[in-house]
Amino acid sequence: MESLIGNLVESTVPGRDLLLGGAILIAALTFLSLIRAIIGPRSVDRVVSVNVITTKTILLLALVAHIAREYSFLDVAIAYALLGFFTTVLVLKATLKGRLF
Amino acid sequence: MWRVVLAAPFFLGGLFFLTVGTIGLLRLPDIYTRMHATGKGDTLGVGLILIALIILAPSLAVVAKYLLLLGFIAVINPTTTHVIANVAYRFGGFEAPGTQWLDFRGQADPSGSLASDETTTASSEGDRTDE
Repeated sequence: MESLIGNLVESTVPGRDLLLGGAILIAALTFLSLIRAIIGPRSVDRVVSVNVITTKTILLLALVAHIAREYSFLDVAIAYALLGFFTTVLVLKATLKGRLF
Repeated sequence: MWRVVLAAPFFLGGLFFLTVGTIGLLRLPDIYTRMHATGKGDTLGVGLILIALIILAPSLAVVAKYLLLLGFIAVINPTTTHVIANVAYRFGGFEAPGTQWLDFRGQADPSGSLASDETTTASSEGDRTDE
């Protein structure tokens, strides 16, 4: 893991320019979604925004796994999907009931 | 090379739906319309981009991992949207001005739902303090 960025830029997968451009666009969309998480206005809006950010992060991990040929990132993406789901459901449950369990 | 030609429409379509979903999240007026944009746009966009990556994948083991991820996203994303909509509806007061309701609150409370009567009344003030 000396240079993931180098592996990304010098990758030789077919269609590299398209995939890298798409990854950069998805990263930009993630930061745009973060705007909604910051300005609110209610707490449920923030939960929706964090959920969207989680989904886009999973997608970005899958894209990086393909471009840099580091396919172990896919396992990270699967674990992150399950973790994000439980996080969202437990935050909503704590919001609704006032306690976690 | 033919794989890239086959995968490019899926990839570009997925990027289009993700962009539309994010624009909807930023510009629509209340929580229900925002979930309408993101719940469908994100699921479809992620599905299309993962299909493009499946077409480009080098080996069958990697295809299996992508399919597992696709299945998880296809189950998790609508479930999360349903839970958020359920919580917003039971709290109330999240709609934009001018929204007309068909009010079913208190009529049907199926078992297994997140809310029960004694807990919603106990904590219904907790979320309103957020502006």
